[in-house]
Amino acid sequence: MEITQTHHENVLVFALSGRLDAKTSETFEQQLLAAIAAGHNRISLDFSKLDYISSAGLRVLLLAAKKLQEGGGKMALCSLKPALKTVFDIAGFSTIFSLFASPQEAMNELLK
Amino acid sequence: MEQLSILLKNDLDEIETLSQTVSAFGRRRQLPEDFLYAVNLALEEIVTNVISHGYIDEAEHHIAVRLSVQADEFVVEVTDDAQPFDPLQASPPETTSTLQARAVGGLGIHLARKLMDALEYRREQNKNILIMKKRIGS
Repeated sequence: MEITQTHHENVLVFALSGRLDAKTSETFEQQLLAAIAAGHNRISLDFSKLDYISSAGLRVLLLAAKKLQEGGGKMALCSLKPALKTVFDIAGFSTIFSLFASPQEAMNELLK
Repeated sequence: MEQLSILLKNDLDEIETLSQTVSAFGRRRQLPEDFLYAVNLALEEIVTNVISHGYIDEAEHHIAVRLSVQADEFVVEVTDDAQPFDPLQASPPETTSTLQARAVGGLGIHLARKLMDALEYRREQNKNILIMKKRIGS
């Protein structure tokens, strides 16, 4: 699991690669919640290199989205592989998250 | 019948190695990657629940996982000595409400049930035995 953070204007982009499982999601949770606590309220998650997500990863996304919504922030996800999209669909997450086909489309939404 | 037995410690560090073992077993049988993703996810959810919630002491425990291909089914059997827990009795999570109303947690067993074709649970000799089956070609 690798997590890289980059800034584009006022958007914080997390690019994830590898596996977001019960073990690795602990690190991601710390980083994402720390960024929100530090005041970032436009967050893009690039999943183009993410191969795997389980309920532990979904839990982190839901926690972060709720915190952002409380503070009037926004989060966008992009480039989910088909297997991950299936998991989102089964979990009912495709209806509560903003999913985009490319990083640029996610960025456009966040910069609106 | 081809089968493989794996013994895990009750430590989340075991999850990734388990996934690699399951994938290698499945690839040798030409099972597609999305099929193996589903099996790995269901197995992670069950094993993680046992590791994170199943034990009331701090001791090391072992969880036995057996993989087999029987006719047209991939069968995963998980045996543990944790507290009695039947995942089939867990109430399904709410998956249609708004973000605000959505509860955090409870998705793991739901995913396992949806991604596999059948789950069976029994308690035997102070052990939980969970069998999950997925049809090959489904």
